[in-house]
Amino acid sequence: MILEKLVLENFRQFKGKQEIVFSNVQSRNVTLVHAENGFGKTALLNALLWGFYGHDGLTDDLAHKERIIHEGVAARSRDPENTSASVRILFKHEGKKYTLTRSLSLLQQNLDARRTELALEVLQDGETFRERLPQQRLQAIMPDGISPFLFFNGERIDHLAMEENAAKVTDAIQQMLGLKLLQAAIDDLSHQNVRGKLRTELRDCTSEEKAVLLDEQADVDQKITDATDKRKVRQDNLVAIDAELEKVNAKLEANRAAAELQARRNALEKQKSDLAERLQAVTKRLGQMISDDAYTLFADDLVKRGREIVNRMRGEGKIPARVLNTFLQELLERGQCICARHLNKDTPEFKAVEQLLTIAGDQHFNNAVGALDNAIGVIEGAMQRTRDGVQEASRDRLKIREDMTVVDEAIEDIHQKLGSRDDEEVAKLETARRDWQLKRDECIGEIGKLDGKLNELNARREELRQEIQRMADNEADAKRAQRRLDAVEESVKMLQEVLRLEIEDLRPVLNKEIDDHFKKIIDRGYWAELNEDFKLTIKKSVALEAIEGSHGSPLEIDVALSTGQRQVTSLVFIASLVSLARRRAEIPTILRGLSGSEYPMVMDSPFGQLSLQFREGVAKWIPSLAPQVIIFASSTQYEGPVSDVLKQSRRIGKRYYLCYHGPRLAATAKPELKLDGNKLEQYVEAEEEFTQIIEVN
Amino acid sequence: MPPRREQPQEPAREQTRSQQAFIKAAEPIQQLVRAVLREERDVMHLKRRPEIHQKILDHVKQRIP
Repeated sequence: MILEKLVLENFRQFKGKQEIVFSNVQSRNVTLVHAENGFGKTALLNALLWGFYGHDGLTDDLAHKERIIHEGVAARSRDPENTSASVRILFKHEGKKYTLTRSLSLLQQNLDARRTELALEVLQDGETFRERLPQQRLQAIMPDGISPFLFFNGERIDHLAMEENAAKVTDAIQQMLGLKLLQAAIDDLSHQNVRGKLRTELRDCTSEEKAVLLDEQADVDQKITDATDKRKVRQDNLVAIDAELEKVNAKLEANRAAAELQARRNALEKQKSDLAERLQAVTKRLGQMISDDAYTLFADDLVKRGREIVNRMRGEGKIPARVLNTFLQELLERGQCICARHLNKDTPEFKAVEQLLTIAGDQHFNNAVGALDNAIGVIEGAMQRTRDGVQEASRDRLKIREDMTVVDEAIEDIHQKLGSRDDEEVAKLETARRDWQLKRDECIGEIGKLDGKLNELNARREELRQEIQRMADNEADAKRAQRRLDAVEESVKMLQEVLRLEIEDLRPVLNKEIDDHFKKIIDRGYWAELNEDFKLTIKKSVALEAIEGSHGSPLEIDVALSTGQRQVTSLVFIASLVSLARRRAEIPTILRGLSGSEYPMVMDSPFGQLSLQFREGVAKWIPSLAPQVIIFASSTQYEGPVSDVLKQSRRIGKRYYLCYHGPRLAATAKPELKLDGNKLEQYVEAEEEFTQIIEVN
Repeated sequence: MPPRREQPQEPAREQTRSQQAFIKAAEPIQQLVRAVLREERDVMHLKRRPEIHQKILDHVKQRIP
């Protein structure tokens, strides 16, 4: 989606009809709106959000959300039905042009400001038509789940891309990269209204025995749905608990009396999580070894006996056989020996050769003994390797467990030290931390239990599916019902595989994208890592001696970022996602709509909390990533590096400033705006308050 | 008539792994999945979408006779 134009009429402080035309030239993709604090930057951002999503889209920091119509206009109105505010947005999306108009009459505002009028017109191939379900269409174009990532107040996004928002981040990634479609299809195909209904149809025309299995399958399905729902709730709780823990940890880090111990604890916990990962890997390796080769460990007696038999036969000269029975048989049939004597029946020569047959060997037997001998050798080798491997893995597991105990004890020691501090604040934080930690452990335990249950249920489900499929049905109806059910099952499986592969392929690409841009802006040896659950963390390497008692390779630890750094991280994350979504539109997919799309970035005060160095990086890199960037900035945010970089890169395609009319100017605001050596009047003394949008020529 | 000049052919794009997984499925399954995805496109973001299940059932019945 690319924004073309915004037309406001009596929306908040924008009295009368006013407009902004956004730049849509790729090389000059920045539209810049200069505005002092209090002049209407937030209202402009909210005009766009109100246009797309109505009352629900308005940001939390907008005061008096129910007052949409300009206060002076509303106060003077004598015709509430014909006095209104409206927002019109013209935009392009996937080759079509749209015009959305949302309006609210004063009459309706007085009754319920949430109920607005919305119209959406589409221009395609020279024809215009009106969408029958405009809000539904807008949701499909730009789902509300991604709007916080596209339209935001830059000073309040410092937590947006961080761990506590992992669920929102995952959802936004899935939506922007087109993966949500796959998940929706999987959910709906598996829904009781689809799968369950088909199963009922099958049950109605099948044997009693199969009906029982179908009932059990329906029951298992319901249990899977219930357990999955419960797991999701626990997972959400875990995210919330982690966020609380994070807050307590940050407070402890900021407290001088606890900072040192807390930093050590952070490092130890990282060490513990690494050890847990290693333990998991070793256990997996051990499991694999046991399932593949453990039989060799129990074959000891058999191998010994086999070896004895082979050795004995070799000692007795039975193997390899000195003379083959097939050779003797041939001589007897020919009637002549190799020494040229005749072998007539009943002669002593004939009997002598016949006697040899009792001790002669068989070629097949020879071969079989040779193969057995070889196999025994292979098993002996495998037995030794398995024994060594299992012993090594067991030693590793023991060592890791010992290390974990040491780390656990050190963590407990820190807890005791902090918990017994005289500093009340520290003791209180430490108690709170322990409470959250216990809740976290409990939550993880419950998730583990549910995972176990889900594994069992899924295995049973698969067993039932195979059993049901095997049971023959003679009736044509039953066969058809079974085919349909199988088709749904197969479709779900295929979609799950497609989704898994898409995520697997996209995550490293997005990770690289974020990391590359992050390093360009924050140059401190930090790097960004997006884990398998799409949680974004910023890491750094710590030299060994920095952590007491640590050994092995250098540690990678999570960086505690400042507010500005977090803000930059969030900006980089959003821009990288937008950039990938744009490129993703070029990647061939199985169906139109599975691809990502172009999205703009609309940022209110993105430079507010940033240091000069970060301002420069953001101004330089963000416009090169997103297809369209709209920035609302005050003069103090703009002056200096932002202005220099944007001028140098020639990225600004359109430029406006907000002129405030009112009885008083805030002490912090200046009456004139200085732009490129020109002075522009941005305050006009007037009785009535309103804001005017003026284009900078 | 001048001889027709042959158009240079674009190099074939390598299939993504998910495309390969899709193509591996039987034709009726591919058609069913395509139809379901097409139905989902416009409604997937809505919280309430009561008609989608009936539409999917209709597609199943139509494509798996």
